[in-house]
Amino acid sequence: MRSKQQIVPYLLLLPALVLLLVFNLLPTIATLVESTFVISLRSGERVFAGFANFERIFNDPIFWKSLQVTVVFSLVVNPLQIALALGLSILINQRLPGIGIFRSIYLLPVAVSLNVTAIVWRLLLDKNTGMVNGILFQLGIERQPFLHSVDQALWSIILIASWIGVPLWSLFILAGLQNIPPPVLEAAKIDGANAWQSFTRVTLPLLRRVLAFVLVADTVANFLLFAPILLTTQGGPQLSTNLILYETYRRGFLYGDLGASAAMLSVMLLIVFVIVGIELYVLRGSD
Amino acid sequence: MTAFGKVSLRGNILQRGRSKERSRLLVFNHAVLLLLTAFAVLPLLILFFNSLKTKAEIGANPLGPPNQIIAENYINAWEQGNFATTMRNSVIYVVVTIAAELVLGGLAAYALARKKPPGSDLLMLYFLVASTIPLWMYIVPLYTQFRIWGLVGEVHGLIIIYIAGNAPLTIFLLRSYMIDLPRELEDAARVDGANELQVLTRIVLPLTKPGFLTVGLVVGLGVWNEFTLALTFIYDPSRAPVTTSFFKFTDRFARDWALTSAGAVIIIFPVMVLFLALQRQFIEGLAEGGIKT
Repeated sequence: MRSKQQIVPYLLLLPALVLLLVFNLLPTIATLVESTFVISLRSGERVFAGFANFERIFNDPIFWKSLQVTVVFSLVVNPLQIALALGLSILINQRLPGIGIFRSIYLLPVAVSLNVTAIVWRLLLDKNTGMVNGILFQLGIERQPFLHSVDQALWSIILIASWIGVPLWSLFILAGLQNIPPPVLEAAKIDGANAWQSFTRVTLPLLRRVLAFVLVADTVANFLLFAPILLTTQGGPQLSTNLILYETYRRGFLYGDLGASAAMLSVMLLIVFVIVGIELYVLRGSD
Repeated sequence: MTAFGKVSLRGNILQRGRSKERSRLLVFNHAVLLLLTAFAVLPLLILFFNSLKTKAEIGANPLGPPNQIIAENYINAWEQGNFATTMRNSVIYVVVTIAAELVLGGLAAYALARKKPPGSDLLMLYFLVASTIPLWMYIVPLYTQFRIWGLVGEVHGLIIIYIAGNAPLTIFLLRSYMIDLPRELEDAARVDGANELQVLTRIVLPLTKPGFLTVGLVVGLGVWNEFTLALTFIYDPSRAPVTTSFFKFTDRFARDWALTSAGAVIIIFPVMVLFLALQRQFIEGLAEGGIKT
C-alpha cells in the first residue's frame, strides 16, 4: 500500500513528462547534435565536423549583423513594452467613469493573431495608401517609407509587436494589481506618500513576482518573433530587420544549410538561457 | 473594520483639498485613455470599413467608412477562403488540445502541488527549461521523426505537438491554483472514505474551476492563432487551420484588399467576441491563482 502511494504521483506526472521528452527535449538535443555535422561536398554524406559550423557562422558577417539587430531590437522592445504595459495597467485599473469600456477596447488586440496583425499593419503602414501616412499627410508631414526603409523598418516591427505585446502583458499586470489590497495603498497615502512614492515603495515591490514572470516571458517571446518578419519585411531591407531567428530560418529552410542553422539555434538557445537566468537571478525574491 | 472607516474618512478630507489637482489629473488620464483606445481600435475599425468596400473604393478612400456597403465581400471571402472547412478544423485543433491539456496538465499539477514526491524541484526545473525552448529548436528533427512515424500532415500529429508545447505553462499555472487550496477539505473527504480519484474529481476540480477556465483560454487563444507549426506540418488545405489558410489566401488575393479584409474580420470576430465575454473572469482567474503578488 505504501509503495503504491509513492508511485501514484509519478504516474500522474508521467504523460506530461513523456510528451515533453519525446516532442520537445529529444528533438532539441538532436538539433544541438546536428550543429556538429556537415554535409560533405565530396560524398554528399553527413559527416561529423566538430565545431566547423560554429567557426563558419562566427566568421560570417551576416550572422553578426543579425545578432546586432536582435540586441538592438530586444533592448528597445522589452523595456518599452513592459514600461508601457505597467503604466497603462495602473491607468486602466483606476475607478473612473466608463473605465470598463476603455479597458475592454485597450485589451482587444490580444484576441487578434500575430499574423493577421502583421498583415493589417503592412496595409496601415503602406507608403501610398496606408492610414498612418494618411494621418501624417493631414498633419503636413512628409510620407514615410516605414517597412521599406533601412532606418525605419525595425521600428515599424517594434510598433507591430507592441500593438499586441503591450495589452497582452497588461493582462498579467492587471491581475497582479487586483491582488494588492486597497487598504495598503490607502495607508501609504495617510503616511504622506505621494503618488510616485506609493508606486515605487508599495505597488512595485508587490508586483515583483508578476513583473518577473512578464519580463522573462516577454524576453523569450520577442526573441522568437517570426511571423511578423516573414509577413512584412522578410528580414529586409538590407537585413535591417533580420532578427537571429529569421536568419536561422533563412539559412536552414531557404538555403538548406541545416548545419549552420542548427549552430545558430544552439547559440540562440544559450543566449536565451543566460538572459532568463540573469533575469530570474536579479528578480529573485526571499521566497 | 472601524479602523479602515477612520482611515478612509481622513483620506477623503485630504482628497477634497487636492480636488483641483485631481480634476486636472482626470483630464490627463482620459486623454491618455482616448489615445490608447484609438491606437488599439483604429486598425481594427479600418479593417472592418475596408471589408465593406469595393476594391476601387479602397484605392480612392483607404481610411474612411464605406460609401456603399458591399456585404458580398464576406460571402466571397467565406467561399474563396474555404472558411467553412478551415474554421471547423481550427475548432477541432483548439478543442482537442484544450481538453487533453487540461487532463494531462491537471494530473501533473495535482501531483506537484499536493503529493510533492521526491524530486519535485527537479521536475519543476525540467518544466521551466522546457518552457523556454523555442519551437525552432526542435522543429526540424521533429519533422524528420514525424515523417518516419507517418505523422506529417496528420491532424493528430499537430495536436500532439500543441499539447506538448503548452504543457509547461499549463502545469505551472494549474499548480499555483492547487497549492493554495485548503488541505482540510481533501482530508475530510478522505476520512469520509473517498478514494484518491474521488478527492480529485469531487473536491479539487470544482474548487480550481476558475484556474482551468483561465488556462483553457490561454491555451485556446494560442492554438487558434498558431501559425508556424501548422504551416510546417499540414499541407492538405482540407486539414489546414484558419491561420495558415488565411496566409495563403492573402497571398492569392494580394491585390484584393476588400476580400482579404473581409477574411481577416471573419478570423478575428469569433475570438474577439469570446475574449470580450470572458475577459473579466480571465483577469480574475489570473489574479486568483496564476499571478501571485
